[in-house]
Amino acid sequence: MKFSADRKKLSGALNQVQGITSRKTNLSITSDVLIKATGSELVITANDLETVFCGTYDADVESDGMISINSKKIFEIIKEYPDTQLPVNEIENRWVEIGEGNIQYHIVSSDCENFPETPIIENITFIEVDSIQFKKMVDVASVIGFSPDEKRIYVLGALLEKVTEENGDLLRMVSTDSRRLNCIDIPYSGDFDPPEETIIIPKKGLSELSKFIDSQGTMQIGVKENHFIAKKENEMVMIKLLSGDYPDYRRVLNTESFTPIEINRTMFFLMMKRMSILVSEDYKSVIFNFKKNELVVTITNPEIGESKEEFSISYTGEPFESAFNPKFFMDAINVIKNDTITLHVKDSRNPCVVQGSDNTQLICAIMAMSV
Amino acid sequence: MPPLSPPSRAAILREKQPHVITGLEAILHSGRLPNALLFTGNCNTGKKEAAHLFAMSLNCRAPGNKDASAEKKEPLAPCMHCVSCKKRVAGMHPDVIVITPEKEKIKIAQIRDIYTIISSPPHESAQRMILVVDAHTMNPEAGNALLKILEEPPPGTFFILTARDLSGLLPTIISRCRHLRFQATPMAVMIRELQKTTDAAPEYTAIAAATADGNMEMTRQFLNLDAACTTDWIRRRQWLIAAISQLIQNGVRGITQAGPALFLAERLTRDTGELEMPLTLINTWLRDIMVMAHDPEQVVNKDFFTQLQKISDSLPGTRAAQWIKALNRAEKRIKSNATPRLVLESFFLELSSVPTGYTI
Ligand SMILES: [Zn+2]
Repeated sequence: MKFSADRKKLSGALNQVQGITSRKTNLSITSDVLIKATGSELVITANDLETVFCGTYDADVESDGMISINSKKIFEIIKEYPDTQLPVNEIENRWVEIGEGNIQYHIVSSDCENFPETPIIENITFIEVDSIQFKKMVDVASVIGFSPDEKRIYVLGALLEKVTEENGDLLRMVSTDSRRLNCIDIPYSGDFDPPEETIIIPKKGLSELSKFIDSQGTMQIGVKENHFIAKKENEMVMIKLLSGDYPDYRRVLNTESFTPIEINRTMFFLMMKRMSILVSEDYKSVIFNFKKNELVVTITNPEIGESKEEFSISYTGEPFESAFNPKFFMDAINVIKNDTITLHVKDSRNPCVVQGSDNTQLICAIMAMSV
Repeated sequence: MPPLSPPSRAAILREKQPHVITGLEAILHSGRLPNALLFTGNCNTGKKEAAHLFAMSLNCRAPGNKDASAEKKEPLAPCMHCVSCKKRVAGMHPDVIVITPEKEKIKIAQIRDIYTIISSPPHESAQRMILVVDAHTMNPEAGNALLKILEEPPPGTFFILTARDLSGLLPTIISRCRHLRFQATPMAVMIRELQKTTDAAPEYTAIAAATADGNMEMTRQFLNLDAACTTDWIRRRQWLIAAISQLIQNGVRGITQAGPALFLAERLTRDTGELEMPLTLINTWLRDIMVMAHDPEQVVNKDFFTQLQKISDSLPGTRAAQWIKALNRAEKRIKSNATPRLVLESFFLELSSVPTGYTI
């Protein structure tokens, strides 16, 4: 195999896969990228057995071939290489020569036959989504992470489904860690015919996906054969779905018997930020005391001290007390960009459902803690 | 460590474990794969190898092997050349998950990791294998976690558990597995196999194998074939036999100095404290002294035949049997955490004591 390609283009492609190739798996070869040269193209593949990246780029190919080479090392070499064109040549016994003239690297590659196979997915119908909206969707879902020893499928992954609303079909993504839940809808065009099984996309894959979404234009997405696929012109990400059940999240978002309270986004955010100063590993809860036209928020941390704030609100229902983690409100408000937000509340057992006023497409529910 | 060996090893396995191979081929023929297989037998009876061979055959992509249930003479014969086989030989197959004890125990966290793995389908093969090596080292907690998985087996995944025997496994786990027993390797097969890799004389290979009582790992150490072992066991055996013989002969001659016995105990426990090999050698030596009296053909240490004969002639018949009992007691005490040096001192003093009711 011998080719030469635009250094910047290669560097950009390899930059996107560093997250995938740095994940620890039970196979050492997943820290490699597979580079295949044919005709006048290069195909670069990264595969951590969960997320697969595949990109096609122009190149001057002198002889066809395939190498599997350490992703981090080749990325660093390409980043520091001074010329605009980067020559790569497989010499013998899996030795790869990178560069020419004054600068020459000899890198040992691994047996490309051991590289994990890229799933072959055929006859897939893609739907089209706006890149900015889709990125927002992926980022909102990724806000709610998971701990390293988490085993619950519905916490490890986010739910993707089609919802039918009055003004058409929407694509919905739901993410939870059982203490809070984010739900976001975005429009799409095309026919989305998802499989019957629940679609649960691992959050690890979503955070890799986010890096790959452009800040303009559109993207193609689809689901087939246990994979979620997102595609741009010459690049594609495939994420292996998780199989399992997803709890009935609609119950959490049902605010029919709740009281809506409109509140200024910035002021509420700053209050939560001040409250969170006194939060520690063992004491995370802030007491919300809903009274007639007033919200009194207090935190008591025996390790540090206490704090109290009063806030006028338009609330006329039964007074009640509830406890929440202020950091969860901050995360929610960070993704809800409307100036005014609405808190839907009921009693000390029910969640607080946060929404941007006149925005029904993004909902964050925060579960109440025991008082 | 490459988990698999070249194709000729498959033939050896067939020779060593014909019943197991027949059992596995019957499963492949039937086309109905049990959720879990349980392989029991001593170490080095080929359990892991059989597991990999089975998974390979099940997933081999060579044209003739595509359909394992098809009429074929030997379904347990993967091609070794297709992508699936090659990756397995290289230990690089994403659908081979091997769980081995960490610090001699399989922990619940390791079993919990399986949950995540099986929450998505196999990567590039029809049947993913989860191999739980030394399943008897699971504590009940880990065992119950595994049981939960076996009760609701995920699609496209089968389990193989290996264990020395059934003791130490939850009965509920055993009942969920198809059980296959691995026989200890016949000594002749083992010697023939070892002879291919050693320069030692065939007689000595046989002595090493008999001393280790068929334990392949120990036999290899006695033949200095174990690269990880730095002791020259061929020389060490000669030294130890000489030292033990000296102690015994001192006793016979009525020399009752404690020095040599104390020195030997100190010498054996000085470095690593690894006593299994020397105690095995001593045990075999004492057994030979006993056997010499009535069936010299059965002596293991044939290279020391004359010396054995001399010792045996100079002792009353029951003496060696008493020593073997004493040695067994000593081993037990060491296992139950007594100080090895003290235990060995008293054992060696007994070896070198003047035989009761026997005078020169
Ligand atoms: Zn094959």
